[in-house]
Amino acid sequence: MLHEFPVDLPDAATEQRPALGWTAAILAAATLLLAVANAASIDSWGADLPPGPGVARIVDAAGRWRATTDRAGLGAPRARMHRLWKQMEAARWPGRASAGAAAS
Amino acid sequence: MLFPTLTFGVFFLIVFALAWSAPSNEWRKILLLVASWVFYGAWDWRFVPLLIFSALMNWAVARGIAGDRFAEHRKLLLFCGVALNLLILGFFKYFEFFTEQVGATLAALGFERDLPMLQVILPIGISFFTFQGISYIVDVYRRRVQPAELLDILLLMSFFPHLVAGPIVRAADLVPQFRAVPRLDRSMVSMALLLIVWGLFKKTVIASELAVDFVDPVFADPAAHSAADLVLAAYGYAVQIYCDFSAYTDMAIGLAALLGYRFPRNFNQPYRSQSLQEFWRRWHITLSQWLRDYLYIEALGGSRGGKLATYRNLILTMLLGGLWHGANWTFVIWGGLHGGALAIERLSADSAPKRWPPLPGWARLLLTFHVVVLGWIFFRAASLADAMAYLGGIAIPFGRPLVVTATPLVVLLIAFGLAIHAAPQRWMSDAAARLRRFPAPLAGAALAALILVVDAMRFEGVAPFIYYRF
Repeated sequence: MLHEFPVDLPDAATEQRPALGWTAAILAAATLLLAVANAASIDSWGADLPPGPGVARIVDAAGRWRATTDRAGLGAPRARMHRLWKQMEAARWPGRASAGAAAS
Repeated sequence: MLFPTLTFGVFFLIVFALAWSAPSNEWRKILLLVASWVFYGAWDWRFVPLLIFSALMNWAVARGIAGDRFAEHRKLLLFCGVALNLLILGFFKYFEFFTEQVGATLAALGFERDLPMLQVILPIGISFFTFQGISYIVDVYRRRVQPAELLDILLLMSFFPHLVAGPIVRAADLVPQFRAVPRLDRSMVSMALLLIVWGLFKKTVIASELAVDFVDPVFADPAAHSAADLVLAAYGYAVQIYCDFSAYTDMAIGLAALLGYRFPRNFNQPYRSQSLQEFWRRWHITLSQWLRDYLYIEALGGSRGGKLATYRNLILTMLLGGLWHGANWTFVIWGGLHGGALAIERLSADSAPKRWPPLPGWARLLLTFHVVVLGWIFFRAASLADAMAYLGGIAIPFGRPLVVTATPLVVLLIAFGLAIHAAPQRWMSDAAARLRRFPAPLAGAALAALILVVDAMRFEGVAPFIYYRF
């Protein structure tokens, strides 16, 4: 081998348990949690797809799924973090109007 | 199909499930090959045959080289193989640049002609798969590797995680992995997941925010910005290009690892370098090593011809490395600047009197960083005139606006992008060592939480990676 491989941890030899099931379970859990807590992203992804009859169904389903998760309050943590980030984006140096104020 | 999109996420989950449920290693490779062609075809199906032709050609040339007993025949085959690779690359990448330069030269000499303009479309990733092809046939010629099976070479050159922007993975690294049945272990998977999330953060938060909010507007109209903005935008671009390109290769390394394959490291905190030579051991490592092994040493002779030849070869290597990035004088200047600086470094190491005290480490770091940033101004500018106007704005700040348009968030992201170069080098492997002890549901929840945070901060829309156009 010619190069250093970043995915080889220094003590990887002590951790050789087969991990396919573990990996599949992680990916499944993460996908499920993100589908529930990040429906806003699924919705905006659907809206960005090139238009077509199949896409229209996806967009419709994504919109309904987002509405469902929002009603249950599951999208709130992401929405709160996004608002905070937008406030940081809009912040200006002292003495200068913020982006939001300048726009209004 | 860009890595940080839901479309790619769905594609990857399907490929992951199919690859790991394949009945044999051969079927797994066939599945990965078809998936790679689908991935490449998502940009432009017309270039999938070019990718297949390039792999077939390099496979056939390598077979011919390995099977021929006569040294002259072997050499001729190698020459033809390298020439054909360069011809393909040259046509797609440099045809228009070449015709423009010929047209301008003829016009200057009073022979104005309408030269054919073909509007050649650049196939994405062509530089990367061409370099892989060249390194394969040279390695077979030098007997560093055995010729590989057709399926392995097709997959080596088409494998979707590294196909469009590297890292440049050599046959000696990847073909033995293709021959064995891949196996996952928790260490590899933990590191892979962290690399993917870290790459996602660097690309969608740092690089995108800096590009859209600050760097692109300043480079688009340097005359409308203050000297302080120009300096900050140059630093900002240094951070942006690092976070953009290293994010791609981090994600590529992570994705390949989830499929059971190891890719080499491509970045190692480059802005902590104390010399240009060290910088090139930390930046785009697989390209630097390719240029060193196949161009500087193999084609130009390296340092075998004495000191003057060494300096010349360093400059030539970097000039050609610059031209590899694209057909534009800005890339030639960028390469020439790096080549010249490398030659000066070598010259000063060769000829400085021993009693001269060396510069302190922090001064060498600052000097190296600013030479690199100067190079990035040429690299980023649309033309040589734009680059000179940008530098002029920094050198002569009078009569320009005094306002700094960089926001506190932009300054914070630039500072953060530089500060990560001072982080302990093992921070991610230490985190991966902890993650691998988590039960799967907890690790899945942690992964989802990290992605959720990144997604809440990400800039709307995802711009293509900078290195897609090379």
